[in-house]
Amino acid sequence: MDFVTPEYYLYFLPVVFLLTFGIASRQRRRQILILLIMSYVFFWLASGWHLILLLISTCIDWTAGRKMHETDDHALRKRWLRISLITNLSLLGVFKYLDFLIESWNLVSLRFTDSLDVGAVGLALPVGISFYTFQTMSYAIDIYRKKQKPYDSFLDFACYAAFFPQLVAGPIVRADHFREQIKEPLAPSAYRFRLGLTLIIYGIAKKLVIADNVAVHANEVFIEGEHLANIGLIWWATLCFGIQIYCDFSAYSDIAIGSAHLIGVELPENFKTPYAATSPQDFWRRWHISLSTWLRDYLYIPLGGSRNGRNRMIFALMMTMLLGGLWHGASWNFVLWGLVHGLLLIVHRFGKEIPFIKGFFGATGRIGVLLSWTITQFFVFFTWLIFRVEDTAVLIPSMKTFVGWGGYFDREEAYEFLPEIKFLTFTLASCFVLLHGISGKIGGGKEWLARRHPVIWGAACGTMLSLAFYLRPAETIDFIYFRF
Amino acid sequence: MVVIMAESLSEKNNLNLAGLLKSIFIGSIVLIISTQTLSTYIIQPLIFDSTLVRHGRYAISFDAWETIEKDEQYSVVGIGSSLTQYGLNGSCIDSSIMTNDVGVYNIGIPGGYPYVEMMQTERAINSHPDVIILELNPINLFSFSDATGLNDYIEMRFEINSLFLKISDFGGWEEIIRVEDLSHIDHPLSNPYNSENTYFNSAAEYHLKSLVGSEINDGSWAKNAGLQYLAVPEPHTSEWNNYLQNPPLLPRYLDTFNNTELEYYENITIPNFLERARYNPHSESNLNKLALEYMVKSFSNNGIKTILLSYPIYPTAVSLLSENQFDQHNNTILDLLGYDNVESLNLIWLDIWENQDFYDIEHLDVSGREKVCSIMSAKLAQMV
Repeated sequence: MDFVTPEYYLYFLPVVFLLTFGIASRQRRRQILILLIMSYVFFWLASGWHLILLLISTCIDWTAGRKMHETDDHALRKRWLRISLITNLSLLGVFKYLDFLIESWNLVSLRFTDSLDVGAVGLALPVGISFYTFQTMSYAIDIYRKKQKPYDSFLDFACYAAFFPQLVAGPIVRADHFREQIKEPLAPSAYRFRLGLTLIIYGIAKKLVIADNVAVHANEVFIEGEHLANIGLIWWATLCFGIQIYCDFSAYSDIAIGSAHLIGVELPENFKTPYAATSPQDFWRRWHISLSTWLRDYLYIPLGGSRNGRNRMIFALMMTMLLGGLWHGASWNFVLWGLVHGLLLIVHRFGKEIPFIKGFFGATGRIGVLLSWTITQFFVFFTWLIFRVEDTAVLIPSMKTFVGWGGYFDREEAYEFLPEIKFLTFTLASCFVLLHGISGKIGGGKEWLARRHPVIWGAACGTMLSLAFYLRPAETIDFIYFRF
Repeated sequence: MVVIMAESLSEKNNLNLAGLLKSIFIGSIVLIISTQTLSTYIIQPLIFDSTLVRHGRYAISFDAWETIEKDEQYSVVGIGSSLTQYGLNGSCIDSSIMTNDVGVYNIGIPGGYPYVEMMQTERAINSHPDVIILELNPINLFSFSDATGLNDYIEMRFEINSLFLKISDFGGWEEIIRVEDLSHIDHPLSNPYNSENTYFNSAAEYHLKSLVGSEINDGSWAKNAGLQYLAVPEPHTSEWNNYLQNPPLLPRYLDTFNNTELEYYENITIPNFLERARYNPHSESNLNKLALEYMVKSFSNNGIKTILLSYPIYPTAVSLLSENQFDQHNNTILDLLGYDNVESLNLIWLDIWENQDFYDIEHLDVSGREKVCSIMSAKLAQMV
């Protein structure tokens, strides 16, 4: 089960709602118990026996949190922190990175010997493992740092670790935030319910209408791997993927936040119109906010941050971005993606201090902002190309073409090569660019809609849903971040 | 429980429960209206004019039943495949029966099989026809397990039928459908708008192209290209009514052959044809047979007279049939005659047929249609 299966909306969410506010109305403990059981049911339906891994992570971090809180013995506290980190990182390492390490080892060993070939283990990647391990690790680290107290009840903590809307693909929620949300009995409100519905419908439309349709074009180019020297084709496919990944992931976040609203819980925002960013730093303040803040708080700052000199800052930034890239997936293209983002951040950081550049952007006003936006987005989309293509035989020529190294422009060839549905995809991509631009300027469209008169709300949401039903391509594409 | 939930939902952030319910109600109405509108104005015209599918006729059944329902005359409706399409001349039968108030409709669909055609059973019953001429030839009884390459056709027909399907059209036929085929049929809860989704993107693409002048979209490219055979007139127009009685047909296929080709056709092609599953009917464990039984039983239970009509086959082919080859076909007719209000008319074994009466091995041409017309008129005259 996931957020685009009808069963989620027809059976799962209504049952959760009815149980939480019907049977367990105004009884906090019962509500949490119901949410926990239903979260486990959701996870079981999504990932089967991997539920055990979630239980292990939950139990270890719960125990570590309690033990660290109970003692002032620094060594003991450190030991419990290590247990928590080792457990979570081991789960990640075994289930997500083991085969990647074996393959990389085989690749290296091939250089020196032709017989040493270790077989891949072939473990299936547990759904959401990157998200819930990061979430529970942050809990243990915060208690170790004495930044927060442990949860009073195991039930509350288990619910925090497994809360179904954000369990599979975030947002990565901080323990304190969730504790605040559930400290009183959960109570629905008409406004909140409608806001939840708005976010869910908006998310469904964004995923099915835009993400899945533009994905067909991106896939055609990058999977077929033909005409990779055609600049028009590579730019178009990269633009399509950039739109796809944003609409896909932000749609998931919208549905997650919307589902949580229905049951009276508020989750943090994960995106703020990232393609309106005018610098790499600005981009990371707008893209996957819950991950970027996590990386900042638990990697970048502990590694030295920006207050320990230039070299330390470069090291911390590059390590953070490399690991951030690797977090996305066990593949070298993700490492490269992180590396390029790290370089962009460093170049921006030091470049903006160069007097000429500082003076230029200071003097040019809006034109400078436009130029800054263009450069930023050019490189952001360049990194999406790296993110999308795992096969180096396709990636390298595509990268060269993207930056104009060789290559040619042939509109006819691009037109002939692309899938049959072209005008519609172009229209949808254009609509996205327009709406994203407006949203970047004004913002808060979903909240605005949730406050409108029932007629306006009904007309907008009914239309969005009918478009989602009609315009989704024949085969629904899995959420991209399910793989992470 | 409900009261507590209602209280909780009320009066927060300036939106009360009534406002929320009103919002959901309006949203649902907009959803229903907009989906219906998009289907009617964006998809269906391009299906009828055969832009999105090979033949607009695939889509006529349900609209045809609406027309038949409104017809106050004594209505006779032919259901089946292209055998019916080429074999039943509605206007000829109309004029041959000496009674004025009879309407004979031909809704045979190219490539149709009982397994697909049974989806219209409930709609047919609700349209209250007086007589149904149900095609029952050996080809209607072939077993799917013997055939390959049919799945795409079944998927396409199920999806097109689903565009027109209402909740009241669902019935016992659902139980006959194979599990793998059920996903091609829209269901209001489990699989809503699947068929619209299949065609909408192509339809929207076509309309967008026509907006920028890349395609001509006057709703009937087939007509402009001189392919009237493939296009269907807009439902519920006078042209549509004529179409339902007497669909345009292709000129005789066998006339395109020279003597050598005809000799090859009769000596090689036809014997090969007769080896196929289409001409070796099965009557047991057969989805087509089950579908036929379902239709006959449903019509019979609702007091609708049914004539099981077996259209003739090219005489040379009949002479090449092996002994007992059609026994299962004959047995099926006997089985189905066990239901009330059912009669049969097996034209295969009549000796009136000449090769010239046929368009090809199994479809009739002008003179063949006239012969069927006179036989059917006599039969119907007794019933009216």
